[in-house]
Amino acid sequence: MAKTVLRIAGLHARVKGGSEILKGVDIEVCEGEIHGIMGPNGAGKSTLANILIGKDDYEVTEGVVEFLGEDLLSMSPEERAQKGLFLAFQYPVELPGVVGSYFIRTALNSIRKAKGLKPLGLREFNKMISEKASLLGVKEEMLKRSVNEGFSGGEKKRYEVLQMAMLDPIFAVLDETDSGLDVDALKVIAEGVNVLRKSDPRKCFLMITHYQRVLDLILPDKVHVMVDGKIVKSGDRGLASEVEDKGYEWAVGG
Amino acid sequence: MNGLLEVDGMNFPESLKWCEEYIDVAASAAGAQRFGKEREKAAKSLISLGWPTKKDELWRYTDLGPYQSKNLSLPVNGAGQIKTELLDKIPFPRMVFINGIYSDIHSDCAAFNGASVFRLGDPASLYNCSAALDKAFQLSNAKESFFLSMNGALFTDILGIVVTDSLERLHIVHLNNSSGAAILPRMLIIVDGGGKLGLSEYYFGEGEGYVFNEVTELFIGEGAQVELSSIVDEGSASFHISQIFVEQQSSANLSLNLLCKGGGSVRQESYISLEGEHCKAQVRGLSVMESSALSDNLVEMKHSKPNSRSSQKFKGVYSGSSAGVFRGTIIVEKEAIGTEAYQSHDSILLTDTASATTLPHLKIWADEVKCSHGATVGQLDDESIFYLRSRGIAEDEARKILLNGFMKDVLDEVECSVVKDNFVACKLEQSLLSGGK
Ligand SMILES: Nc1ncnc2c1ncn2[C@@H]1O[C@H](COP(=O)(O)OP(=O)(O)OP(=O)(O)O)[C@@H](O)[C@H]1O
Ligand SMILES: [Mg+2]
Repeated sequence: MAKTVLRIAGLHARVKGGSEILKGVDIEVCEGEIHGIMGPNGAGKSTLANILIGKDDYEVTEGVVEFLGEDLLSMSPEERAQKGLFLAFQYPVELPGVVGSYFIRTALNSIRKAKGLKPLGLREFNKMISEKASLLGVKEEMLKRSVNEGFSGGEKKRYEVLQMAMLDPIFAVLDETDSGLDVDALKVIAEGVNVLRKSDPRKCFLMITHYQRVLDLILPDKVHVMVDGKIVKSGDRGLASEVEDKGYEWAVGG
Repeated sequence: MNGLLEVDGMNFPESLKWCEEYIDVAASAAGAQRFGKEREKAAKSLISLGWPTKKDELWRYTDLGPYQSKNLSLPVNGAGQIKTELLDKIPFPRMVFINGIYSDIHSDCAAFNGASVFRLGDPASLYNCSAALDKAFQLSNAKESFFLSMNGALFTDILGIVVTDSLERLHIVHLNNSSGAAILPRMLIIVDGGGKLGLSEYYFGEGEGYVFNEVTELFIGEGAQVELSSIVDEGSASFHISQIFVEQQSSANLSLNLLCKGGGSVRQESYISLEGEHCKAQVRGLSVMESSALSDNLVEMKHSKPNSRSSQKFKGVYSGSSAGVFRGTIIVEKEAIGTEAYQSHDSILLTDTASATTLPHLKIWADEVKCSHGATVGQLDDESIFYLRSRGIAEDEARKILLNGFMKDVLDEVECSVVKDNFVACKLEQSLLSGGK
């Protein structure tokens, strides 16, 4: 059997000092798998993603999360990233004055350092990023600008995918990266995912989405439906179209 | 009657007793007689004004007590103790002053084409510069204040720079280490019509309880351009005040960049008078302060003629119990239609005990002008720190990146990379990070 990369079991979490949002989540992702998570607004999908990458707005009250056999929840966000976890944010923040290429290079070299690798020199880095940027339709000019500042919604999403492609994670969570994108941009995401899979077929993806169309491009092995903090249904990729046809009510009832 | 006699026997009050000896020495310095009248007037005003106190609105945030109770003295020649490694990275042409006293051995400022540099205290250098010297005090006389008078009464030398064509870059370094001294340099800069000047000033200090009080007058002729960038890194128990008076003729262009990364109490006052049309004046400030330091900036931008543009952009990062104050005044005279004048003050406080204050003042007498002012005070944004960390960047590094991002737009405008590098180097990083915890 394929090795488990991420194991979420019985996860309950709440906003610090607030109400419970995740009310028992179980997901297991094995090497090379792509999972989709669908669910209505406010179900807790982004909360799950944020807890995975280590946002400290939340506290886990029950359950475990293991990443490559290690306790993920005890790691700092930077450790998680250094170990190969990546989150493409639903709402990426703007970083005024922080030049994009500098930011990505610092991130990449931080991860390399943690892995015991030598930092990537400027020339090598520039070559690598311009290749990936052109593949993903990110204009070179955008790399010289402040991160996300004044970017359009679609540009921000592409930029997240570019970061993913550059940082080369083992496990990437894409939180509605497909939302608000035109058909061409959707293909860009698929391209980003494919680039990573080509480099290592064991890489895993968790695609959070409202739409089947992205799952038609990036064929998931499993689809989960989350409603009110719980996974109410899990199945193969056929579930995505069923949910889109019949709605979330159906998923809860069935 | 000579300069010496006029000030002789002047009656200084107890808190200024030290001035009696000081003024005798100053008034007999080489070339000093020429400004005997100015000195006398300043001395009288010094006595009548007396030390400002915290009750004085303009000095509310500054504790002058420690200096007031002191018998300030003439600076000692500190050349023996100077840390010359500070000079290693500062290229030529440069002029070095140690406790305000010109240091020939550290300076090299050979003849320029299109510019001349002279000192009142060096008679040989004055050849041909007599007319220029007539302009000294013309701008500063428009104001009256205690520290202006202190400088006027007690200055011992005037550094003059006259640019007729172009002086690409001159570095002026002040190294201060004379504890308990009053260091009172004075500068006169004239850039003739069409000329161009790049000037970098460094104020490095250590030692306790000295007062550094500089007055600069800068005339920018029609169509002339000046970029002046300065960096202050004074001793942690010192009082630094620099006052610059600028007059710009038509189409003159000024870029004034005031960087401050250390000191006890640092006060920078910039009085800019746009006397012609189509002038451009940009004043930027960037202060990174720690422990109990104060960075107190005052700008007065006066538009007298139509169609000039000005901006005042100040930023600060404060940790410990340090404080930043920005007082920005915009004056638009009735005649100055078509004026554009902006100002802003943005601060990041890294601790609960740090503070930032903005005191804007707009006096607009003309119609059809565009003026605005704004201020923000905040902390480093947690969401932004988290975003960087989620990409594998350690928390300290993330804070540093964000702070550098905050400072970037001001630093980008500093033309002199030596000043910029000095600001970004060493000390800064450490203090930022530890202050943030
Ligand atoms: N930091 C927080 N503070 C307070 N409430 C929060 C916080 N984070 C999430 N919530 C609440 O938790 C619930 C789940 O939010 P979450 O963003 O995870 O939903 P989602 O499934 O991603 O929805 P969408 O599809 O709209 O993106 C919502 O009711 C939200 O308001
Ligand atoms: Mg969401």
